[in-house]
Amino acid sequence: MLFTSIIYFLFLVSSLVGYYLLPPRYRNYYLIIVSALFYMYVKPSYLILIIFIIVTNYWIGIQIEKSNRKQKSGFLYLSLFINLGILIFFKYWNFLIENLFQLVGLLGVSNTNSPPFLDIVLPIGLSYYIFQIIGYNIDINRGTIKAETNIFDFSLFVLFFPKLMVGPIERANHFLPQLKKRILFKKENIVEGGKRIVWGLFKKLVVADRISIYHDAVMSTVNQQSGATILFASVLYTFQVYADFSGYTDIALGTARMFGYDLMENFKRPLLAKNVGDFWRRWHISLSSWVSDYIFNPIAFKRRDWGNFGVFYALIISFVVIGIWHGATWNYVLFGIVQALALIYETLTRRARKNIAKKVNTVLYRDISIVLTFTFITFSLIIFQSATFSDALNIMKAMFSNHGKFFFDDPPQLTFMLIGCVMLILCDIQEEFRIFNFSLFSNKNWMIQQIAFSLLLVYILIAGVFDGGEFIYFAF
Amino acid sequence: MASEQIITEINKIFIKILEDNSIILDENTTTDDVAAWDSLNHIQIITAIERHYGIRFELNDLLNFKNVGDLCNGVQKKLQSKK
Amino acid sequence: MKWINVKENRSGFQFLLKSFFFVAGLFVFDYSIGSLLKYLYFKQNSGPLYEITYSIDSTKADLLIIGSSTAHHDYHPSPFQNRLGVSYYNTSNDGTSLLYHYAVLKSILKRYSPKIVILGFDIGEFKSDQKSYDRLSALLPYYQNHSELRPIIELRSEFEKIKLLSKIYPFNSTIFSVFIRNPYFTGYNLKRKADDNGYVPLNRFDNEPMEIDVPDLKFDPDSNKIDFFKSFIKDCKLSNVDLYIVISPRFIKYPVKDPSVELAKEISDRYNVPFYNYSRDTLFLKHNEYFADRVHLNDNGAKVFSNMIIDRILQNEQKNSVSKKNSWSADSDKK
Repeated sequence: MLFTSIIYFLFLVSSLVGYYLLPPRYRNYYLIIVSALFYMYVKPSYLILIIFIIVTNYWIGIQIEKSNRKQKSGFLYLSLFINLGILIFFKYWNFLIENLFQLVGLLGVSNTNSPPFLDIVLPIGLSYYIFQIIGYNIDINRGTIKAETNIFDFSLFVLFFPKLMVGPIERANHFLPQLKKRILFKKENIVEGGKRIVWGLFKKLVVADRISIYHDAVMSTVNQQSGATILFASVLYTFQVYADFSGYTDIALGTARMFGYDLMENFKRPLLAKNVGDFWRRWHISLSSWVSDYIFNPIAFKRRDWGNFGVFYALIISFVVIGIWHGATWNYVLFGIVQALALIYETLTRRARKNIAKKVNTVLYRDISIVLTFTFITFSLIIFQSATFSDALNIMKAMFSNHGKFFFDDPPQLTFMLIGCVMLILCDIQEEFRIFNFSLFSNKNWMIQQIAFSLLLVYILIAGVFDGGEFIYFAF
Repeated sequence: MASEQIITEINKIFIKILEDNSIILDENTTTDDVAAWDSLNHIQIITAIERHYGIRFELNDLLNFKNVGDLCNGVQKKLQSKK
Repeated sequence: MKWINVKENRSGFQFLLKSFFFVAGLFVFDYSIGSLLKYLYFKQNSGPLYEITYSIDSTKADLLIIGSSTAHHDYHPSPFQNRLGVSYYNTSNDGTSLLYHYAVLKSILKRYSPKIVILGFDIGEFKSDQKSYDRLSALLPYYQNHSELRPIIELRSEFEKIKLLSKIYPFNSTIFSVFIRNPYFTGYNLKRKADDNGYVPLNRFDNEPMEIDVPDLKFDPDSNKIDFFKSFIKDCKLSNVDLYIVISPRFIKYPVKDPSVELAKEISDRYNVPFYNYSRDTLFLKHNEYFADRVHLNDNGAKVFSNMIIDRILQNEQKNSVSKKNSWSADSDKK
């Protein structure tokens, strides 16, 4: 069920009505059923998998807590084995098999068997909730939280539908306590949640999907496009990914809010990051903080005797994990390594950069930093969105060497795209730097706010992409 | 050692590693409160503290420190167990 | 106790009032902006959106071309006007499918019966493809005034009727085209090469492989498209329209026998409709002087191809008039 579909809207309204009509103490059970139905709508068999994962980890969590020191790690390893095993199987089987066979071939071992590729479909949201559960188990092992003994609360912790598809990857100490509270009807929840959803719809339908049409058209004919066009499309792509992911996340968070729950923020104006480290504290925060807490910190601390190399070692592993988490290709690995290299560079040059900063005007230094970081991210995303390494190289080569006309599509389409990007970045700039005193969407006067959101909805109707109906034809 | 003294010494270590004289720590200070303190130089700070007191933290404790206060308590515990 | 209830009631009432205000505001904005967009949309007098309006609402040409981008660029008006002495209009629209073509026919036949209709049929025309339904969005502005188009437009999705409650929705994405092409604002016809009665000439040659060149592994036909194809033929017959179904020439031979083409030929033969397949015609294959890219003719190629089609139309008309003469004489004999 796409968050931007009418059927989702109908589902949301009807489940909200049922939710608030029920007495508060039944609301959690109701949510479990609603979430299960939501997940089943995508594919009924997914539900069996997630129930298995819930039940096993519920039991393991309790065992970890009960056990003595030695047994604790035993149960933790068991949970890692099961959870990671499931994730690796669904996500990386074909990738691993392919590379294993290639490696075997390289080593000169003759092999006449054909690789046992499987036609596996990755269940929606698996990467998100598996990581969430692993975090839960590790937290119990560390003693930072207590195992959840109520199977229903634990089920809802995993199954809560707004975060099923694209996260955020929740933490036990953030989300579990909320499940224990009684949810009462508060109109602010409905209103604030609704506003957030509208904003998310704007980002996804008006900004992301519109740029996507142009970007796809350029990249599918990249060899015929001029360098300027490719550069322009790549810059827009950065906005597209941001709008797409953060927009979808907004809808998730807005929905959760309408049910009275507070999911963690996943984005903090990442396009305004001043350096790559800063970027990763603002982008996909639930994932990067997860990796930081459960992979980077443990490794970095364990290797603290290696000095800087310990940190670099931890960084590379962490970002390769972040890369691969997105998918099973070498491109994602490369993406991760590139991020790690950038961070290593920043660590090594911190003092030098600080000295430069002292000599230069603060605002100028800040703005240049933002632009440089944005440029780095744009180039990283070229690797990220390419199917293969050679595609990425091809695109970059074409960017610097192709000549030709600048294709920016119809002025109307270009206008739509630019207006979307400008609105998005202006809102972020306002939130980050507080340039204006006046705000439309958070204005204290309820009438102004209402009009602002009405107009936003109207603009979504005018400029949103409701299907693939927009057609770019290359009439040469 | 009294916790005041520990905080003062740790403060000095922070200032030295982060190269910022304006840092003033208290029990509730976290990474959000100190601009230059991030996960990268956190390691350097920890190793500097360990070297200064001649102690070695457990991995589990390190991962559970939420603020400077926790850090100080950790130092104190290690010092006491040395005795 | 009472006074707490009063407070709660008041804030509950306020909430309802504010919600009502919000919904009313939305309705007002939607209605007013939608009406403005509609007004501006139909005030256009040039450009691709205007061409759709002209095709559906206005044209009374004797000979119509209906099809997708191939038909758009492959049929030059002059030969038709000069040799057949008919008025010509090319209603083709890029990226459209039979679903759209049938809709155009329906709107035409509601207004008048053209003498001749040439339907451009593409290889793989019957394939199931979501894009064919998405592209029907070009017809949304005509939903309100054209009852004959409504069932086709509603094929887009089960919720299309709900979406059409909004007055803005039909004009989704057209706002800037409408402003920029509007004579009140700039009076200027952008980017698109000037069209000549709906025909758009192409001039460059490009040999890059195109997506539509790749055959699918299995034939997964869309029953709507096949039904519409049959209805297209039947409706033309009922309105006494001479229908010709033509597949345009290609630069490079399509590698396999296309099941859509086979099926279309079978149906056309069954209904006695002329079906001309030029996709493998050697006069055009590998002749880059006639092509703008692998599947679209350039201006020269269009002239050559149009003349060839006209030859066949003339032949066909002669054959028909001979058989008509024969039947008249048979009838007069009967008298």
